[in-house]
Amino acid sequence: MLTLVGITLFTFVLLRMVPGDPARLILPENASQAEVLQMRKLLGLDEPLYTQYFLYMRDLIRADFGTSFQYSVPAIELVVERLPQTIRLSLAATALTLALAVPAGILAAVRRQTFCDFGAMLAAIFGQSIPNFWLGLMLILVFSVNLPWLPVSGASTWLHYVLPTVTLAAYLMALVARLTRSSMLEVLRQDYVRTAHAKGLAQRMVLWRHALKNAAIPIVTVVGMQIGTLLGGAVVTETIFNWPGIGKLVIEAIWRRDYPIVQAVLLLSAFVFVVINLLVDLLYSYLDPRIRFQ
Amino acid sequence: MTETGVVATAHLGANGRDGRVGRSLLRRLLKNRMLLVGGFLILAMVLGAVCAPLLASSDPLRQDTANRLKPPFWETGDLRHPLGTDPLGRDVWSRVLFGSRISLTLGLVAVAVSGSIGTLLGLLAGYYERHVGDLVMRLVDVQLSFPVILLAISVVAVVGRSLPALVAVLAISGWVVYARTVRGSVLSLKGKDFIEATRALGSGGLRILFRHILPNCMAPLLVVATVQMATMIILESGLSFFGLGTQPPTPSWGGMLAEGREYLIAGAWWLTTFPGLAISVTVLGINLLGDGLRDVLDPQLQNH
Repeated sequence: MLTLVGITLFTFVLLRMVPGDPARLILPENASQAEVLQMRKLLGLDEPLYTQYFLYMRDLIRADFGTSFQYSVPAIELVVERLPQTIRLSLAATALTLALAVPAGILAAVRRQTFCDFGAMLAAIFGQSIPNFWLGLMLILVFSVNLPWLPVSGASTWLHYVLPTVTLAAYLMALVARLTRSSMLEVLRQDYVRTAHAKGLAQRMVLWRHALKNAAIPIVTVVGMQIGTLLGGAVVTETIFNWPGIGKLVIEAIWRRDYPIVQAVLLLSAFVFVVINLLVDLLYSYLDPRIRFQ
Repeated sequence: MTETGVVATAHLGANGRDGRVGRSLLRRLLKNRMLLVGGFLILAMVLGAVCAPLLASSDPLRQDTANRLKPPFWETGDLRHPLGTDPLGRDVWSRVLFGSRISLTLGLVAVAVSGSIGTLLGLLAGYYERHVGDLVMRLVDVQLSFPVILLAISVVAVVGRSLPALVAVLAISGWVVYARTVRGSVLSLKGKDFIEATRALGSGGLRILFRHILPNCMAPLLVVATVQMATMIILESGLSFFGLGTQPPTPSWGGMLAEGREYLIAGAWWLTTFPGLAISVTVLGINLLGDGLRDVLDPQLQNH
């Protein structure tokens, strides 16, 4: 909660320091001084900073994020309207990560020091080294320009999901694969895994039931901390693929100095971060019943 | 960090005094293949940056509209522009070479600044747990809940585009990792007997922190700094990609990507491929180096 208040203060002060007058950006270029002053009054920019912040916080408590300077509708409406697209993209990326990176990490750990291990880890270190904005461009180059298989931009059919999802998921996949491997290696040496093997359980059962559940805690922790990266990746991915989500919205809002939208998105992403990490804490006690909350 | 980690770090500190320990550390460093490959890639990049004027095929800023958008030499046979030219007829190979100067310098400066700030705050937060510690960790929490790139974009939009502003943004984005790492190390070192002993001998807090605790945090710090160098280079290119980094016409990798992006659909693939490749190879080299260093210096964190 205190974190969230800190975030509101930070974004508020930061964005009010932006040079350039939003009133002038909205009005036509030849607007008179009087018109500018009137617009500033309308937007509430003529009050001193601390009053502006106080009013902002008062509205925030009533779930009012202010009105977009550009579109003259509540900022929260614009964000809520775009949010599902970003959530869908993030879920697709997360699903891809779980479906590919976790099994790859397990395989690398089980077949340690083999071609599988080497190949998976090489792919992972490459995945961590390629910046997502370049990966996106290269995917467009190969799959949309050279091979006309996939669309360059938009979000209408499932084909539109392929390239953005891969772009967004690449870094997370690399990270999760490496973490899964090292965490599994740690767990596979434990006595309870040997016991499970000794009592004749199938390898599959031992890995998924006994080992993975215990190896999951560090993986889940780091993934929770990476939610910020995922949201940042969404900003990049949505810009490259012209994806109509909040990432694109916030970039446009920053250019147009549309503070309420920027604040709403920043606050929302911080809120998502806090909630997800709370869920991660709750997940601990499911993964390891010995962990209980005081 | 547990005993083994501290012992390994102590080796590092003893490097100068005990030749044998130094040699065995050097041998372990040389035996690590990741570290060697990474080191080689970085060395090549640094050499390229330093010798850019010698290796460049033309002036990176010289425009030549008669020869605009030329593909690389294997498609044209023209060796004057080995990697082709951009929409203004500037030589891509030369621009990639000179671009490395911006990326590497900014990366280094950003790591130095954010590392110093983060280390100092981490030391204080770990040692004076109650007052400074709470405040610093609260700040860390606030910052971690923002997407870094969004934070950086917002800050640059506020302070405007300039080199000091860019360094400041990169430093602000990076200090958190150092602070957390160092604080963790300090917390585990604080209770150790040798610190107790120093305190019993009458050393003050700051002396203990900088003379006795800091040297023992060096191994994890070095690893974090290496990985952060990669993050900083990516972040700088990302900012330039959004048009918020280095000012044109100064060649920077991210800026070249942004300029080349519009010509991608038209088929001018070389404009985006080569600068991106340069970023990726540099970051790959640094990541390999970082992994290698971690394996050698910090056995506790080893990936087995």
